Amino acid sequence: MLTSQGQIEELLDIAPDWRQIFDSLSKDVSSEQSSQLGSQPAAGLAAKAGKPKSVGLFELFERLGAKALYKKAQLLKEDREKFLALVRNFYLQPLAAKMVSNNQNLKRFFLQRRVPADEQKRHALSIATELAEKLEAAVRKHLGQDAEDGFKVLLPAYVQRSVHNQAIDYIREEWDWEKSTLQDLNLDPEQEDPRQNTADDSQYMPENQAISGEQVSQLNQLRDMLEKMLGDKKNQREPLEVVDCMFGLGLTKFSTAGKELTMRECCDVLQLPGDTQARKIARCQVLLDKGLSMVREGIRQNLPGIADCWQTETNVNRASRRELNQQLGMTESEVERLIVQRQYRRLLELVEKSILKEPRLKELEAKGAVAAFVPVDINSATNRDLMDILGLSKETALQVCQKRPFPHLSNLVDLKLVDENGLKALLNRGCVLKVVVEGRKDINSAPLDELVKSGIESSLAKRIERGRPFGTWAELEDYLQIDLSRYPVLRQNFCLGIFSD
Amino acid sequence: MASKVEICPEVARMAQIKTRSIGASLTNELSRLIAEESILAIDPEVDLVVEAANTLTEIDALVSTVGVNGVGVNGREIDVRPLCPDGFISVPRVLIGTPYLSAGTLVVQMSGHKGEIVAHVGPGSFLAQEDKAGQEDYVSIRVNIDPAFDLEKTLSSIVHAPVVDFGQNLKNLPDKSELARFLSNRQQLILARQKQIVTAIASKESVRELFVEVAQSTPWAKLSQILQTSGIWEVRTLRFTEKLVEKFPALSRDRIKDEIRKAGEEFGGQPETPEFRRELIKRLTKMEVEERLKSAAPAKVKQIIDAVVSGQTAKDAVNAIISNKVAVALAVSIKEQRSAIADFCQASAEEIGMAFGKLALQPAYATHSLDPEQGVEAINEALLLLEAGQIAERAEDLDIDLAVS
Repeated sequence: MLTSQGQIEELLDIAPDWRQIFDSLSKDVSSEQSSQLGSQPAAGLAAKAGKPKSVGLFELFERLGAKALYKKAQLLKEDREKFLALVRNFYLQPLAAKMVSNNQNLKRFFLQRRVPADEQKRHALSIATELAEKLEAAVRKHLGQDAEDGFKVLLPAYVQRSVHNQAIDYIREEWDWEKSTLQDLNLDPEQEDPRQNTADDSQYMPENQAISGEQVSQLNQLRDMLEKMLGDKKNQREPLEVVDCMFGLGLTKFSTAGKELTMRECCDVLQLPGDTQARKIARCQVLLDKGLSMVREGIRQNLPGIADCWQTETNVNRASRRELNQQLGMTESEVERLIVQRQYRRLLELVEKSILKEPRLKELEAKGAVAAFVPVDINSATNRDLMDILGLSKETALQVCQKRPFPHLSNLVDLKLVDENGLKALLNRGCVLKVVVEGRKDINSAPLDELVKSGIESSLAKRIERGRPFGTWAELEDYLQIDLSRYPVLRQNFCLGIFSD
Repeated sequence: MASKVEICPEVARMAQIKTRSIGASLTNELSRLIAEESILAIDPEVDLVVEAANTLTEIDALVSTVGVNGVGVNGREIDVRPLCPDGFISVPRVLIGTPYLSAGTLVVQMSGHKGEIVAHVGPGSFLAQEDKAGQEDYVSIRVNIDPAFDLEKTLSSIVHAPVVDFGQNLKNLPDKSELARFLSNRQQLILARQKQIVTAIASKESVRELFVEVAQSTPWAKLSQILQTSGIWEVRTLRFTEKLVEKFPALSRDRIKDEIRKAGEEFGGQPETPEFRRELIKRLTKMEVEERLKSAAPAKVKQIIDAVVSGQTAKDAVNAIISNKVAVALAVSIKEQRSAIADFCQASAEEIGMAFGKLALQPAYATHSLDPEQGVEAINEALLLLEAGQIAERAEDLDIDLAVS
């Protein structure tokens, strides 16, 4: 927050003894600026000379330090309110704002949810403002009790701790909201889809990951290349075997396709040498780095275009209304037409089906639009996906949600949810059915009490619940940082998507 | 010793998503988060402020390429490593002797998401151990845990220690192409040069900016994602192969798998999707028929399969192709007599005779034909195409089965 000269004067009227400090600070700043300008090349000098940095209240408060500020507040009587307001607005708030915007957890949270930069700033500002008020209240409380150590509240380290706690609280609240919203099966199509700002993790679950034809072509070639590399005696085999095991490629006898091993498992399976577990793991890491370098080298020579197929993209078959509008710049009517005629195998179908005109297609492609057909599991899809991707009416979608799980797709006809033609239409739009295995519940959806009932300790069960969904057992093990073989109850009682064994 | 802290599940999960996306170690990242949390818990009067800005660990490409894993405290970056159960910590050799490690390493003892900082290892310990470690890329040292370890005191002395400018002796700064090589395959560079590059990135802002720029334009960060997707695609092809192997007994597992891979290139990597399923069934049916009915004309077989797949019955489809309707009627009758679906065999005289009887036709049928040989041939052709059509009909039923997993 910028300070006006009037506000500085207001403070110096309240605390005239600080004028000397203010003058000295101004002097320091201007001499620092002249020394910086002196070392700049001529062009830079001219550019920077126009904007001399002035000393604001924040800099002055920083120079004075927490103890001086608190002591002054203790001494003030009539002007205490005015003084505390200045401290809140020009010290606590900007300090908290800076810390909030640099907070790593928040940055990560926003990034994983693709929150636009301006919205991030708004959130950060509101968190900082709320925090500054709380901190001011804490200072008041200490002043009221005449506590000697009340100055601690004004220390940067204290503000930082508060920012950290506030950020964690914010993330947890949002996380809870996301989880509960994702369970919401009664959204109106007109309602804004709250999932648009949730993390991508469920979309990137192995069973949900949409792979385009172009990507498959590259993956097929990659696999052929890896098989050749493994068969070539000139290549060192061990690093490639580690890559094979760590990524669950199923290329050698040591690995199973889709089963990503942890580094510890990898050491055991490949019987890597080492006096201690730490050394074995370090060796495994070295081999992994080497293996990845070999793969990169192979790709550079044989598949130079592979990375282009993995750029950030928006799948028109799955994107929410808002994504279609904001990320691809589609108009409302285009979005409506697109949703009605989903799904598309190629982008060109958007033109063929008169959803948009050909020149617009180029614009969409440039913005990262792709058309990758996505299967929609009738037993687990959200109400919104049943309507927006499969094209079910709101009422039918609701009934489907109430009556599932279905053991077979024909149950939809038996239960009169759709007729034969309706079922065909659903199949054409990508409807599939993942049978719910009797006896073993999906760990990604089992209620917390079932996890506990099965013998998993409550704290662990809570961690599983808050961290899911998981794609593989290795991912769950990695997340929990435990050895899952010590918890046989997990695999005995639960399954995990299509990769469960 | 610092008190035990715990990372909340949400933060741990976000860390996992992050490390997976850049191909880094989650254990390292969790130990770093625990260290950060422990420092935040120290009395504010000690005046330690954790700041990630301007640390090397903020650059994802450096985390995944050389394994930096530090926490920024009052402008100094301190390396953090998890303590292995056998009492060792390991640090990438490329970092030893660089400014990144100048503040030493904080050692975190972890148990799940809980942990505490139990020791600090000075940079000298790694330098001393480096020569003994042979050619290994990581240098491991045993950590002796002192129960009287004082985190506050240790950190205070680190942040107040004079800063050494490692950059002043650097002469040969890396350019764009060398940084790209360092990123994509640093093993091509000798270790001493790798260390110089880390030093340059750590101490020269211009090199750091250039490195970030190169990292953003180098797509290698996607390699982990590509390999993960490769595993997913392989599972999908294997699972689908298993489903189809029983339905197409004349085809080998490898042939079916190859067809799935090819279909994926055309229809995308979701075998359960309708076009993928139908096209695959069509192709496999054709292959199955060709394999089982080697004498059939491929063009007519394809015609029959297309007709059945688009909704016609096998009988109607054969009728549309063979002009001799009596031959088709006889073939249908013979087919009905044959209970089991066996590999195709030509109609025997006895079978033809029985069919005539059933259809109340004169055995003199052959006389309707100009050439008795042609009449039998027409029956056999109809029989063959009927067989092909029925294989296609059975395959049609597969469509819904394949939509279920």
